[in-house]
Amino acid sequence: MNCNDVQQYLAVRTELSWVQEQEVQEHLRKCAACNARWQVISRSRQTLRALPTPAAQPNDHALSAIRLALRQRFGPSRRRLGMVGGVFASLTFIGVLLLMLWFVQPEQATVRPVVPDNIEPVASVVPTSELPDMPLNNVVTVLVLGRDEGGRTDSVMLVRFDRRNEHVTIVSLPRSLWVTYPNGEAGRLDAAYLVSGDQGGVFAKATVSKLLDTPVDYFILLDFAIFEAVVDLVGGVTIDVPTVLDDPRYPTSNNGITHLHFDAGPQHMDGKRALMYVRTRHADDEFQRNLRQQQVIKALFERLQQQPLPQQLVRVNDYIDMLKGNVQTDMPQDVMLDVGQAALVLQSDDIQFYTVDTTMLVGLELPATFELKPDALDALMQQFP
Amino acid sequence: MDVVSHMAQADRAEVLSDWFEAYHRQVFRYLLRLVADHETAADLLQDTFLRALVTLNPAQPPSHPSAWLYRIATNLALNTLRRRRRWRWLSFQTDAVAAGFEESVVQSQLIRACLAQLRPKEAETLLLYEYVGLTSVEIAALTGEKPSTVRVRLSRASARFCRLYDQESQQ
Repeated sequence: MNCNDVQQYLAVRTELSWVQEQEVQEHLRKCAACNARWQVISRSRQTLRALPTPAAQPNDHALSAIRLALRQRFGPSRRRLGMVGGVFASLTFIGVLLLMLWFVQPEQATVRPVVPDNIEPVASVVPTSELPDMPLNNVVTVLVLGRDEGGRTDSVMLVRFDRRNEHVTIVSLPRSLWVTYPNGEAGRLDAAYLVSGDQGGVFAKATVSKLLDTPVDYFILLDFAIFEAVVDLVGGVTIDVPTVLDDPRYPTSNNGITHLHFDAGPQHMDGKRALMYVRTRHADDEFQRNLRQQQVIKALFERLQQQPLPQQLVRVNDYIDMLKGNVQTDMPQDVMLDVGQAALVLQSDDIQFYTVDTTMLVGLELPATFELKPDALDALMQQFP
Repeated sequence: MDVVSHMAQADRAEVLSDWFEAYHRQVFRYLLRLVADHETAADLLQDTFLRALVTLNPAQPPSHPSAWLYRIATNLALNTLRRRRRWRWLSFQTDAVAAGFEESVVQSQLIRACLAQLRPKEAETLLLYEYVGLTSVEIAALTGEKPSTVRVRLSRASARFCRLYDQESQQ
């Protein structure tokens, strides 16, 4: 046996026959090089064994997804961005839509656009009169921040209106995504708004713009209360609940819990009820909840479209009260008008919702949270060409 | 698509579904050991079976399905480790949770970093031998090589791994 033979056998020493093992031992007694190799092989083996063996199992969710993929014989290229709405997708989108509808002045409508003092302007708002006279872009990108009762921007969404193709793309970003702020510091995405005080919206805008390497034109900050109010204003929505929903531990706004129950079948929901329907988590799983949210968005959107705009705008004071203090934006009024008009011709099929799910994230060392995987980031950026 | 290849594809999906039920637990544990992150491991599990679905030739099924699946899983996991290394995403909080204590986390990350730097074939062989527990003859049957070729590579891979580990741990 020469050194080459011995060194290959050393790598699989447990596989050796008794005779082979004797030969190897014989060789090792007089060969320093092979002894050194044996040392190295043993050490590498020992080191590799130190990698812990987890006892975990994939969750049922992942398993059913794979079973489904195999059954349907999907190709290897899987869509990373699912067509599901984020937690706040419905409320924020409808809020945006409403805001825009509000500023639309159709010919037969008797109402006038609201003067901006009903909306808290931020310092950087440029009066329309000072804007250079140039045609509006075909694509407008808006950062929508949904703020809950606690004041956090629980929902961070980037909305892209493509007027030429009559298409809207909405991407929900995870609020605890770890990002680099424009000032160089790092932190959670939902903290971006809080970091710089009254310039929060502009700051958050720059943060997302940097993250996705795409220009973000405007921001809109909305409060939770809007969702309920919008549903009530359109007279509620009719939802066909697919199966019985029962949540014995639905959190109430005063930190208590209440028992929530929905029977299966079509039913009319007011704002409060619709909000519960999209927010409940304990009755089923997150996947189902996303489907419920989509369902309500569609119902609301169609409901908004069913009625002629003037009827929508009849209750002017309601709108003003609702928007007052609940909305902040740096979007100039003429852009709102413009986008609002474009939004009117949209069908619900023209709106695509995407959300970042856990498969697109990669964990970071504490206190950082997680960031987007490179391919997920690419996929996201493709939505904002 | 003609009838024959359509049937072949239906067969493939059927076969893969059976294999999935039989092997997904062990393959997932293996992937999780390598990538330390539940979500990534679940992703790779799916990728493994979808890749298998595409490459499986019903006329010539692998003689050892589990070994064949492990090989696919190994290469997908190694790709992930290499990509992470490139992006310098070597630290994972999930790892700390999995391991339970700091020291082992550091060592685990070192091991993964070293595996990511090995030559692809060497890393594949090393993992199949050390972690999956295949013999050199089984690996050779899987890759269509001579057992001696596999053993030589294994020996070199161990040496290289050891050298890398020493370098990395000194940094």
